[in-house]
Amino acid sequence: MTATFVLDGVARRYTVPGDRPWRRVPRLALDGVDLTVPAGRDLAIVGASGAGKSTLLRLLLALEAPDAGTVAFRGDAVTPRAPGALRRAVGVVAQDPGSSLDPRLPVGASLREPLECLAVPGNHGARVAELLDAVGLDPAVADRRPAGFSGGERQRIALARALAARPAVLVGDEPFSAVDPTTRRRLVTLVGDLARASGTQLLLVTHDLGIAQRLCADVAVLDAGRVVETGPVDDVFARPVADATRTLLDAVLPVGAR
Amino acid sequence: MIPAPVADVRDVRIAAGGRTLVDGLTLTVGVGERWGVVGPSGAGKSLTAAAVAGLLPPGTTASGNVRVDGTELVGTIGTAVRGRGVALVAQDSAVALHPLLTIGRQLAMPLRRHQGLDRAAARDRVAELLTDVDLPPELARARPAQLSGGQRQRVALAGALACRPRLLVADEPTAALDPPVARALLDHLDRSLVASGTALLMVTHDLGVLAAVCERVVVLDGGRVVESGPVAEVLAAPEHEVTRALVDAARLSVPEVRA
Repeated sequence: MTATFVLDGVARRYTVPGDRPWRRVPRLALDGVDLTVPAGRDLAIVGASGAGKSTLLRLLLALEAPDAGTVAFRGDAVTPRAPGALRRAVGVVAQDPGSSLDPRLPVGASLREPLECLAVPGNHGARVAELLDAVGLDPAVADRRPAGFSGGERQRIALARALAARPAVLVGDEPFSAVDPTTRRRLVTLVGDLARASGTQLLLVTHDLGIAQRLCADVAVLDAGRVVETGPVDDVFARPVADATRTLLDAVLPVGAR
Repeated sequence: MIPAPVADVRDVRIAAGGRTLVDGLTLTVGVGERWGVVGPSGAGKSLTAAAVAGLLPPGTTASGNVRVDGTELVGTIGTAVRGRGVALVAQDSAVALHPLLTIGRQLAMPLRRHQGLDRAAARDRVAELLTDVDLPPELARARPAQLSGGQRQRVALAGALACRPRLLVADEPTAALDPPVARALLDHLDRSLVASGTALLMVTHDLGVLAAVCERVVVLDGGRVVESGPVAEVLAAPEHEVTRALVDAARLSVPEVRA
């Protein structure tokens, strides 16, 4: 079976603020990443800030082109100008639902957009109602704008939007980090349930090793722009090989007595 | 004689736009004590921290008493106690630090204002403060955008503790940091508090952070205290359903490691 994603020698360079407010200096965000994401295996990408997680996602989503190397989706090279089957097959949930949903649009219209853009067949109004129901919201709220919802509810709407066109892959860029822990727990359960029910493959960038373990079978650890360790989550967490993985595991603060 | 508490909060009610956001809050922070404030979103945690720091936002009205370092803050603008009495570390030091001023200038400001140091003495003290949080003194010449989030938050911590305040109010100081960086900041916080004999009132969503730093905790829900006590006891045997939900939710972030 063709792998969902294959990255081969991927590098990406950015400029960052320099020693004067108006100066910028180059920085290598990804430094030769080789990574294969097999079909049907949920993958968590973890790593410290600045390790290159978000850059890696932007390249996987063909929002940017690598400076070196190639990104392939289901065997075909993808680039921003030629994303091939990628756009249709992938749904994305960003970190901050406050900025990922259009504040001027009623949420029903936001949910309808991907259906229209991708010319998804069927009754779009019925699909919007079905999606809102699936994420635990009353379909009657479709008329309201994002400002009328809590952060957790907005993230549910963003999740519904990502799933609207029945993607084969659901990509989350820290989708749980902007909500409080109680809301987070419900969202994590919801994402796991919906992905399992629809057979959607999860690709999750997260700081949270506990969530990575609960939602994903595999983990890739990123450090300083390289993939330093990959494997089944339970194995990697039980027997970490890379220093970066150990640092991440050591940073988990236990919650008092069990 | 029992020393007077650093912060004595009695029956505080905070309202805005006709809604009561904090209702009947009472809390006493003793000398050098470390308190955590936890609760779901909208429980009134940040307002509580703001009230104790004398920084209630415009549009809010407060009643009751907030005495910090012996000074009543309700009905005042709080500047009387800042610096020596109470200092604040906010969640996002990218916003708290001035983007165009060098780190050295910003750290020197409270020293010159509150401690009357001259330029040379302030410069020496800034180098010391940066060294205390494991940052190279050369960083005094850098501007905030050149620093990582963790470095910026360490600078903010150094600045807050520059005048050795009796109380540090910290509102989610690690929420914007990734776990390894957060852990390092908490180590710095711990050491700095001990070194300066400063008490702590810390708002956090993260019970792991709470357990790592604080001795005592108040749990807020809907603006009221629903539970309080020693951190270890409250986390081991939460009595209120809100606390139980927080503990359950926090365990989600702790991976299970089976050898």
